[in-house]
Amino acid sequence: MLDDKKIVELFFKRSEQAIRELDSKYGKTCYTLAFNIVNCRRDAEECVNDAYLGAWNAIPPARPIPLLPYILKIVRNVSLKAYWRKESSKRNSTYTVAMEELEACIADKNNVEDIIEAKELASTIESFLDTLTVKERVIFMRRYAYVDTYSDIAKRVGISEKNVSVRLALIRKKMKKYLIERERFI
Amino acid sequence: MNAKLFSKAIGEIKDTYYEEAANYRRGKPVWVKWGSIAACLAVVVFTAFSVLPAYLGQQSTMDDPNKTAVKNPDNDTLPTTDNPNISMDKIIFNEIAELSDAARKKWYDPELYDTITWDKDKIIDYYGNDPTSMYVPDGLTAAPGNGTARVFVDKYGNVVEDTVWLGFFHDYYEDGSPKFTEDVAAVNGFSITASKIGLLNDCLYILPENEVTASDIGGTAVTFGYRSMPYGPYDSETHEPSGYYDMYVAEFEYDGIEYQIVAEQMEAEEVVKVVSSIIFGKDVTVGK
Repeated sequence: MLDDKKIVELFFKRSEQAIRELDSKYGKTCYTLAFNIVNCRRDAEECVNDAYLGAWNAIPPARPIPLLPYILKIVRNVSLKAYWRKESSKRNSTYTVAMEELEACIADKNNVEDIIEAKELASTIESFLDTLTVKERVIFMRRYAYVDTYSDIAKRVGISEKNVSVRLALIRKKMKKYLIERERFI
Repeated sequence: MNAKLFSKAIGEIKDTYYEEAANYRRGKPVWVKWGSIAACLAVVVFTAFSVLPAYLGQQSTMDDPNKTAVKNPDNDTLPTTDNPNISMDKIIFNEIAELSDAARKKWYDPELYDTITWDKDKIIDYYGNDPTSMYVPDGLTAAPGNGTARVFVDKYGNVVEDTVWLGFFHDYYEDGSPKFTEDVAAVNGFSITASKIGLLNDCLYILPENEVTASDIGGTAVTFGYRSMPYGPYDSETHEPSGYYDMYVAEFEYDGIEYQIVAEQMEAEEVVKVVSSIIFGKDVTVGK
């Protein structure tokens, strides 16, 4: 398998081999993440393909080394959008429809505010993560960034599912306290 | 804040956190069933003293290994009322179904790895603190072999095995291994194994997966295990043991260090006190 640098070079050369190499190296991880979010094989495949297209459009000028977190973040964003879209279509109440109508008018403003707010919150979460042990951090990230099941996390870190559940509960409790102290929990 | 915003924020956090979570792998487990618990324990003890002599013990016991271990002198200045209180009602003991061969260690090819010995200063420097129990029950003394740790490094000097071992037992044989008690053919005391790399999974005991419940001690998830251990001599005809004694195991991660404590012929409350004192960094009061 090619190293990340060589794959990025292929992107820069606009060689479609870049997508094949990316898929060969990280496709399974990307698909698992997408599937954990959208819970549908076909949708997951679509999300991964959309993420590849996103990477194709972004590189160049971006030169993401390492490549894995970069592509995973794209997969995650695309999958979450698909998830919210799907959820939204399920809630066809008058309220949802009305809010969606309104959302269309204020989407741009909200997006900018959301992005700023999300970035600020991300910074607080990073500080919180730094207070955890490596194992706690991995458990947190695997659950909330990679959307892994308890069972998958248990296998990865070598503890029981029940233990994962207890540790996550303790981490959430700690995080709530941390966010409240920093007036981030509203 | 809602779940959607939180989710977006998670997507914004630095790549390094994603990388860490992607690359994290537990140590490869080496499970070995053992038919004779007593035999296994003997191997554990033997290996601990011959292969993993390590000591991060309290200064007082370090200077004079034969001296009875005492509570951390710093604690003597702490008012009792300030000590955290742990209720035994909240501690869950998971029955140990089977034990792995805890003494079994990874084998490191000498062509690729070197063994080096750390002294106490180096150990404290590596661990960032003195990862030892703050509380040692009366009557237990630090193991004479304590004081150094043998670790494995690759040819570039990177530490690949950082396990250190501490023993606190009631008495020792001349070779430094813990003595069996007179009435029960088993040791009396406890050992602490610590690792930052996280290789302790190689020597975990086996619990039924669905029955494992961790206990919350000061926000740290601690998994306690219990087994009624048979001891010899065994009846030549019925193969029945002479009797049974209590063995407790506690596993947890605190401040980036993984701990495994194995206690034999000790009261449950004492084991909880040992564990809690590591987490709180001072003596605790354990009540019903």
